[in-house]
Amino acid sequence: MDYNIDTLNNIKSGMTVIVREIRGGKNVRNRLMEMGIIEGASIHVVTNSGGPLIILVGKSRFAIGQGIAQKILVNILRNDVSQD
Amino acid sequence: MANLTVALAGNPNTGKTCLFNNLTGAKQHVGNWPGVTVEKKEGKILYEGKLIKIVDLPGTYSLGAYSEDEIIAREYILNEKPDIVANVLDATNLNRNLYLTVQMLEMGANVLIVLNMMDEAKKMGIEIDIEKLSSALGVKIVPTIASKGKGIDEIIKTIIENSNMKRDTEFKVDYGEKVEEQIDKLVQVLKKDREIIAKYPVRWMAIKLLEDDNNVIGQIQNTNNGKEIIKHVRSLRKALEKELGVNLDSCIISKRYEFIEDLTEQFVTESKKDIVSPTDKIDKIVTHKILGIPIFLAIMWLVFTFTFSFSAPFIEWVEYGFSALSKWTETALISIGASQLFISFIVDGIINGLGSVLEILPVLFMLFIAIAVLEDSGYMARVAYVMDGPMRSIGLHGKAFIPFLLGFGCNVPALMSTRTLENKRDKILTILANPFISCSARLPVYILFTSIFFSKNQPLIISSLYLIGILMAVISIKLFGKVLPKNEDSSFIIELPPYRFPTIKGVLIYMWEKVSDFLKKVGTIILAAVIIVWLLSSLPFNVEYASSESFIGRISSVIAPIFKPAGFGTWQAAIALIFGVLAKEIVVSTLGVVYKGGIYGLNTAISQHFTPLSAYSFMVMTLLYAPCIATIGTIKNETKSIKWTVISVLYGLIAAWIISVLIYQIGLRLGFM
Repeated sequence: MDYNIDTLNNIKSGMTVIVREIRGGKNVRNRLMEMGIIEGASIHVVTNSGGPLIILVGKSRFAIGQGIAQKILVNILRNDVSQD
Repeated sequence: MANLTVALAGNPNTGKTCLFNNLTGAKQHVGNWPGVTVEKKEGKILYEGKLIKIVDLPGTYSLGAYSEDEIIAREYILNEKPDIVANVLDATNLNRNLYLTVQMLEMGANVLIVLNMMDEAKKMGIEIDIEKLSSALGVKIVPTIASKGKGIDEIIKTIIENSNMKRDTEFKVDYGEKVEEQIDKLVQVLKKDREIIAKYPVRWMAIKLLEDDNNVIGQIQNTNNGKEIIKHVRSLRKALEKELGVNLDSCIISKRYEFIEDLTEQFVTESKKDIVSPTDKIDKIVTHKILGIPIFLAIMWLVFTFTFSFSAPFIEWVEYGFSALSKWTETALISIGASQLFISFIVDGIINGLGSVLEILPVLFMLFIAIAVLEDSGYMARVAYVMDGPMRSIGLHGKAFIPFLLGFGCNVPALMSTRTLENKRDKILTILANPFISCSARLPVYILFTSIFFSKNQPLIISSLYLIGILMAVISIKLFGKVLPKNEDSSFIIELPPYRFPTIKGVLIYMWEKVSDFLKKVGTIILAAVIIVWLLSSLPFNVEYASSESFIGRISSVIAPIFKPAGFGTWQAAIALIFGVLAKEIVVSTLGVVYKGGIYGLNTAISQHFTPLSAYSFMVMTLLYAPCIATIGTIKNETKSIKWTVISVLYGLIAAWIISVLIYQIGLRLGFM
């Protein structure tokens, strides 16, 4: 599959991405994973307009600060980018 | 003694508390925001002659060691060894919910799965092969719809049938060849330690050690070979991480998810129905970048307008009622020839003292109805989102705003909700600032004084007091934020539950819980204070009631001069503030006792002893000075530090004195009276 890599904080509203890697300290990493934000999970970005992001992971919605979003590395599908 | 003990565990927002209420018939409030159950709660049911104790554990995503609620839940399961852990799952969100289940199974708990929200799952086109999932996990599963009370009997029956169940095979997640090899070796080492075998499931312990779980490491340190084991594990971890090329803790978590996905792929089918959820539509508006904060402020304005304007006529009724009651009682007591002393005790003490506090009842009804609607609808979590920006500018994040909002009701649950903050620094800052948020117990004081001195612009004056409280909270956060060492791990993440229509039953349960707490307080601590104040006012025997010659007059005359620069140097004001530390309503009840003459008499006395300016200064003092006893106790509990508790009390006292003196002195110079 062809994709670009970016951090979650740079993903625009309305896009869906796949988690590639979670960086940062053990606490943040584990907490995210336990909430279902794991490698391979798909994240739909509902809102990203400067403040915290609103994301949809599976059936759960989360508000997540830009700081942590920066630690989540995601894959963007190419055709998603061209659509944008 | 209970025959059976059942622990209720599950993720936040799975309907756990609702289920608890259905099971036990208890009237516990069910909120729609993460972290409603921060303390474990107990209830009992009697079923076919068996007494079943049910313990509602805090809602958690995991049983790691990252937050206090997780540790509470985990230690309960490990140490108290309940006969059954009823694990409530949200059927619409199985993958994530099963993560907690897997952890409990690894701990060797006797798990029963309660598959809740089956109706919502059906609506979303999710089908679960319950029988096969059940046999794959080796666990009984009961489908339920807790909100409609469906499946409750089934749960109780299954609990009784399975209370003695022993698994024939140990539950195992396969962590991959290399990790398994090390787990096995560690198990051999741990098995040599009798202390560990007696207390913990050994394989679970080995996995937790490899995960580098701080809590487990802390506990094992004190066992005989603890230090050696920890050293051994450290080198193991390093070697494994080098070999695998990933963080071992992440690897272990991923393997658990792989195990779960393997199950759900087999037994859960989803026919894709694309419904635009109403939640997203509402969120578009209320979490809007520009509109979000104005909408929140408008909602708060509505809450307070609703509270005060709806309760105003009722307050007059209550006032009139108590005044009539005291007159009637006095006449009745005189006619049966009761002694002067006894009449004074009943009328001046009990009726006037408590009546002045009970006047607040209508306000409480309205305020808690409003807060319940906010909580149950799911809006509370959105407030955290919307307020993240402003909170960041004072060095906290959005989640720390929820305790402040709850503080308008009562500071005690507000302080307890700081448990959902992962970061110690955020927690201390929030705790130190929270007592300045004007809780409902301060309202009797505001209402009494503003109705006498500021009847024309009562809303304005009361709002200004709330604002002073908020301002002081902000200043305190800034101030202590400078002193406390910064740590970078202040990350903001909160689940936004789907919006739900608050049910009338739910709102009434919440309101009644809070109002009955208040009534209990009136019947116990406030009543006791009223009696003590009356006694001290009446003794010694030959002095005039509540004169400066009475005990109370003599004691408080010593303290009164401290408050003179703030405009209220009378001994009556001093004694009211002293007793007010027990509960802030007591400020009013004490004034009611020492200024005798019924509720209307109290009004006359206050208008003689205070000026508008000194009344304002007195209200500010009541708002800011030492938190009440219950709050002080909670501060101690939550900070686990006497140092911070003392700092909090002293800081409040000093700040309150300085600010009310400033207000009075500046006001005088500006020509206010």
